Amino acid sequence: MTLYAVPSGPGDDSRPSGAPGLPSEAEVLVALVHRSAQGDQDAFAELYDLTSGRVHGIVWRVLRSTDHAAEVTQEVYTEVWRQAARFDAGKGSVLAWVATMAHRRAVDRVRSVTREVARDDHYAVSGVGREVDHVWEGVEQRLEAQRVRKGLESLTPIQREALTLAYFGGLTQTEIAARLQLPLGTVKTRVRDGLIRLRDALGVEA
Amino acid sequence: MDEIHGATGAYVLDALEDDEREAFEAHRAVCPTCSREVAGFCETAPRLAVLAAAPAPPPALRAAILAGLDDVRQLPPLHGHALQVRPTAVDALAVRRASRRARVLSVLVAAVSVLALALGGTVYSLTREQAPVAGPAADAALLSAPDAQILPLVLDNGARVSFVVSKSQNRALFVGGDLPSPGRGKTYELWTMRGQTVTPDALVGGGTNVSQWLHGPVSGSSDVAVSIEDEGGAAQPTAVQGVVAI
Repeated sequence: MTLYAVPSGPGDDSRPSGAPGLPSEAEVLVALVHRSAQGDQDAFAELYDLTSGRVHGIVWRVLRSTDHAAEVTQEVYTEVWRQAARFDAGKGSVLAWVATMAHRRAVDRVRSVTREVARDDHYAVSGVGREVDHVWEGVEQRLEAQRVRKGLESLTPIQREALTLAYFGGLTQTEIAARLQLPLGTVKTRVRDGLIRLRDALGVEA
Repeated sequence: MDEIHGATGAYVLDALEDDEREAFEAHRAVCPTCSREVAGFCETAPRLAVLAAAPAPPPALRAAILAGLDDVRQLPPLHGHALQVRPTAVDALAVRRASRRARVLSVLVAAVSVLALALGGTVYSLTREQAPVAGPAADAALLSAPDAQILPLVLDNGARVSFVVSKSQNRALFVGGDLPSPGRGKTYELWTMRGQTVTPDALVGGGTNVSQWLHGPVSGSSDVAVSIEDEGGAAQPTAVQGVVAI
């Protein structure tokens, strides 16, 4: 049983600089998931408060619909609550776990229900880095946004477009290939290379 | 670069088509390199969220989610830890469960007609050992069991399915209204779990109004699960699609 074990997964070393004694956000989130797994609703509420801005942000960006985004976000957190005991900190961070689930569900929703509405008239080919106006920004978030934007800037334009079309546009690689007028194999490679470059630029800090 | 290895990025960004995703997942299960790369990308991709120019979640959403928690059955840890972390009988928990049971029973009457419609009295049998075939009479008997539960489940591939379970009757029925094809050369496989023991049960293909009895035994099981396996079924689950405690 790993209830109070210190997580050993990625993100483990991401203590905010200048606060050596405090647990990192990643560690706090792991503890909250473990407590949620025991039926602790207060812990779950805290988990929601710490993550919902980002999770809802991902879902909303893909769906571009307040109602759909709320529904999918609710589904995601219901799943997090249901599966809390199955979260394995050895396999990755809480944020990766929740965000992966959220993105997958948002994309599924786009592809099934809102295919027409959620596409062309919503997503224009433009780097997302240029339109940051997230409302939940504190100092930490602004710094993180700067880091990520900088990381994105280190990508080639095609890598960046392919990545953002997939992540925020919810497009398949086939659709991206059509939109960017590139061969499918090229898109596949660019997406992977882009993620590798972004990963290396950002490190494992979460 | 072998083409399938190159799909890690598109996989993590959910940019693969369904058939490509199935192929990649099958590959990843046996490829530690891809598995590691996917895990790393899963940490990187969500960091883009900080750039999502999106409104904050509506405050009412928080309240709605928290208000709904009592109605959600939390899954036990995956087997291996299951015995240690089973919640002990807390009064509040017992009360919650009792009220849930009452609600389940109250919807059963309605569910009987829905399910009967779904099953349509048709015969379904796709199992290797010919588990009993679902027919309307047997369904009614299962549904009228005092401890019958309908446990809905959304599989990883998005399919909405249910298990109808009666431990007193030692029987469980798997129902899928619109079960997508598990893929070429693949089958859905049902499992019963008891502590650390996972036992293969019936095999099911995709289709509409799919209904399949489990071989069981059901009464001693703690969970039932659905996975996707190669045709003919597997001895141990590889691509688990969903698990529900019973």
